[in-house]
Amino acid sequence: MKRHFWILAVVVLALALALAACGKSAPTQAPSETSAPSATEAPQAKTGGVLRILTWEGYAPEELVEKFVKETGIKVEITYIGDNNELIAKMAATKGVGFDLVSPTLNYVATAQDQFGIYQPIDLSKVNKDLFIPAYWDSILKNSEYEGKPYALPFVWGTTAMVVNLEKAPDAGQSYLDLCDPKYKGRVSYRAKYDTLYMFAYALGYDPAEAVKSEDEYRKVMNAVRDKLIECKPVVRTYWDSRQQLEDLLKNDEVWVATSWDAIAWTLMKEQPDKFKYVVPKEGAVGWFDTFAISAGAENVDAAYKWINFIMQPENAAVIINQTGYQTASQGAVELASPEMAKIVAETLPPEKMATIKWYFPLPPYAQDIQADVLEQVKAAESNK
Amino acid sequence: MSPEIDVGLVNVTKKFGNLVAVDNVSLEVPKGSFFSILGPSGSGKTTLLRMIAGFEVPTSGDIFIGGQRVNDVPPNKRPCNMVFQRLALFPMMNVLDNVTFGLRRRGGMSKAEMERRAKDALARVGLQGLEKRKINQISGGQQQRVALARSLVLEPTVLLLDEPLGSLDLKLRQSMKLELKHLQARTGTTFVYITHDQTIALAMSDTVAVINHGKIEQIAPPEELYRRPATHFVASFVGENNKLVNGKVVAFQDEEKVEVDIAGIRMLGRAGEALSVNDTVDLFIRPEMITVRPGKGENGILGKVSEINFDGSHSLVIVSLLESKQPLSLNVKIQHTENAPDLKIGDLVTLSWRWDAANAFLSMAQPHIEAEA
Amino acid sequence: MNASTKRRSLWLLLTPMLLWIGLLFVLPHLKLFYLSFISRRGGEFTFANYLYFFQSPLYRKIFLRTAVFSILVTALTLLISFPLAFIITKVAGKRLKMMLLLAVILPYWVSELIQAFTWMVLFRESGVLSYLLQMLGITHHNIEFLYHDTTIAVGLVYTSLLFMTIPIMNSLDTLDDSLVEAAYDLGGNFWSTLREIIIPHAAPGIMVGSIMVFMLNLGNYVTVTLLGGKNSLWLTEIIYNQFIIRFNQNKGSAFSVILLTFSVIFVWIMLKITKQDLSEAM
Repeated sequence: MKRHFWILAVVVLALALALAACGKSAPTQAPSETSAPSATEAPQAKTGGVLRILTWEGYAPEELVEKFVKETGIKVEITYIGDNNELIAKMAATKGVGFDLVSPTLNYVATAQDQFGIYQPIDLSKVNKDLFIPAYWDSILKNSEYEGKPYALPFVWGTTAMVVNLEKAPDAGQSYLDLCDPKYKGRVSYRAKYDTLYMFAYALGYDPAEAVKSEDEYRKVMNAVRDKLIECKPVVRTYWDSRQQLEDLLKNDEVWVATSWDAIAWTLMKEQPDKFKYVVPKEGAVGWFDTFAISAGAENVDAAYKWINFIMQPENAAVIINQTGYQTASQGAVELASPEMAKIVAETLPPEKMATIKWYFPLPPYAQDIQADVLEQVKAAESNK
Repeated sequence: MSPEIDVGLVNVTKKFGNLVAVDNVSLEVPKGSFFSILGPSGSGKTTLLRMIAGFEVPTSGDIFIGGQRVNDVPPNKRPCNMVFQRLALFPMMNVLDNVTFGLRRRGGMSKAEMERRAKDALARVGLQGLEKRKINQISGGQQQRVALARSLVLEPTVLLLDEPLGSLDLKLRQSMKLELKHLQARTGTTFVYITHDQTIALAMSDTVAVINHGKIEQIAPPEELYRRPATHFVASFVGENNKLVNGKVVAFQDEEKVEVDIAGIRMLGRAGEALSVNDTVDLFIRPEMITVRPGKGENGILGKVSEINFDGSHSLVIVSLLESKQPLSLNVKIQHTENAPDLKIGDLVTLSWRWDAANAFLSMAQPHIEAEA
Repeated sequence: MNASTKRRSLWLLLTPMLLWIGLLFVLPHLKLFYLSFISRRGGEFTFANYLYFFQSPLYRKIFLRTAVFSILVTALTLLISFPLAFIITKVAGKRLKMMLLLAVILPYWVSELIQAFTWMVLFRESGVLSYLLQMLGITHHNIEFLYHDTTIAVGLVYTSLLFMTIPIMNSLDTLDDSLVEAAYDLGGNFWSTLREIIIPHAAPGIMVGSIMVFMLNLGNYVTVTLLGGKNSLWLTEIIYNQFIIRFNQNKGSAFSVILLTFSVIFVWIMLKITKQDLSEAM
């Protein structure tokens, strides 16, 4: 009897674990990016309600949350996401109910609104425009427009280009095609994600931002990228997935040339300035802009705007810059951040490089499919090694 | 080794760490005999059997089976088979597959031949028509027979039996006991049977070896074992006995016939081992060997009936001795025959016995494991 | 207690479990099943989601790879777990038993993710193993052990070990030692005793362990991705892509149903092979 029960229990456990394993497929990112809700309460919280934020790791430092709670009496609950699609999937499941404020990347805002209606228009009267760098303000409002209304405010931005090991591969970084150079066979790493597709598209002479407007055209471009990536597969060591993984690969000299988010490379440069360098190749860096958007199911809209106006204060935004290495749209924040970092940023992203940034472009639904097709085919291809 | 000896042990010792489980044992099992090893639990009898089967390796000494030294022969190559205490039938197989298991291992035989032999063996143990049954679908007695057939089908030189009747209820045990004896007589296979149950050992065996603390106490036919125990242990372990302690040897009437003073009463007995005058001895007297005469008579010990326990074919009468310096009583077994005395509590009686019905052994210095009286 | 109260209290006790299975297992799977037969645009009944999967050479290849790999890893795990379970239950003394058990259980004190990272530290080019080999003079340059199929297999076997060993231990525990002795006594040797006595006796444990390990591997993601590097595409990732990247619930559902069906078929075959009846094994 006892034994029978035990076997039954084991089978049930097996099924549960199998299910859990299937459901768990999401965390493709490293531990630093796995989502974990966290709540911070101030000791003397007044009756300000609760603000629920869905955002990226590092975008709501504990230090700032505590300060916000103290100032406003509003409790803050944060859920972290690792991927824009994950963000949309979470929001779409409830039409945004459960979250007040989210931080999607700009190019996902209008298309997600079109498909799922998960946001509400920004009420400009509630935002302190003076806190924002004007160029970003104008551009983001315009690029997040859907049916004539803006849906996002600028928050944090960054670029993706290349990081090179100056000791092992001092000449690398002229072009993204260096990632295919047999000279660096086994010493190259990049992500098996959309950003890599864009880089290679630009490097092969295409303009994906233009091609994406037509399904056929986009498929043609992406197929060309796919062929190149499959051809280059013997050169790549592994596809990196998380910040920690890339740092390990670089620090251990296992990888010499890689694509990198600027913040990762800058952190490495700060530690070992003679060894690592963030390099923007001739095709230009790929740029992304994370925004503030208000959930369609928001229950505490006022608190969301209060948070935006709070976090964009230069002294607060500077905290984010210092902790993550990312740039913000806050006017005057960079001057308050560490001068050392400011120097590295100015060195690697001078105005002429800034001008060549290829910003992420909005993706129609078919583009998502095309990109996923291409990435699956690349990953499944034999690397003949 | 004589060819007439199927199992021979020469100075076999087995130690487990500091524990000596079997201590310098030598014995010979004649071909075709039913040989029992009798001893209380923990006496080393199981270890002895497992060494013969090959599951334990002796620390020193030699083991012979069928004239061959088998110390280095693994159990699956020895010409002996074992019937396990819990039978160890294979529950994943049916009756027939259990019985053919050994034949299949041996090979060199057609499947039909194996089945024929298996059915033959099953018939010999009186089990037919159950070949396709699963082990858990047959009764305990039937399982015993399957276990026997499974070993016998291999026609072993020696069949080792590790108390296989122990798990049966009393009635079944009695009938299986007889059957086993008949089976042994029919097949002529040498049986080595270990048990702690003396009634089984005495009833079935040609020869019984009594073992205690890893040492052989006595090897003898059952009757001799019963009547002429060789040691204090055998006297107290085998059969029921009155044990009169701390007697003093007074005189020898001849080499064997000894006069003992117990609590002031002179009694005659047989010297079970070498004794001399003034030795302190215990005297063992079989209750059924004591003759009871009513009233005060001559040539006997005077006593008074203090208790009568009726037990069907006989009664157990407890008699308090009247002339002893300390209170002393004897158990007397009276068969309910025609001329059995008619006794009541309080009756005066005179007790007597043939001198060799009482066995005298030196008292044990230390308290001994009490025999199951 | 009369029969009806007994029955009522039985139902009362069962309710949480039934709710749990019903709400978390049956209902979602029914929804999944339903969605898999619905077209993404239009919402009418269709087999297209399934056809799409089987007509795609890429998906067939990934499916095959995942399936073959999972079966292989299950077999390998069994090969390692069985002797291990046997030693723990039948051979080892108390201390060794504790040590072996601990060695099997200890890895599960940390999450699979951490385990995978530990393996990376061990196996990477600049890792412990490469360093050791050089120290021992076996090789003179760094060796990369990561990003091979072998590494994935080793990692998966390692993470599966417990789930195979414990059920087998459980069934071997009930094996009467005298059965093994009896088999030897009747002339059996190591292999015949293993084949005819020990394995048939342990069959329920082997079955439960294999099913569990197979399902865990089929649904694995973390270990495969981290240790496999650039050649690690697994069926679960394809399903993830359908749901999360492509927002295609219908194809995602169809692929999930395919995965589930394959699992069920595997369980059925396992039951056949070990000649177990599910109700009997229970």
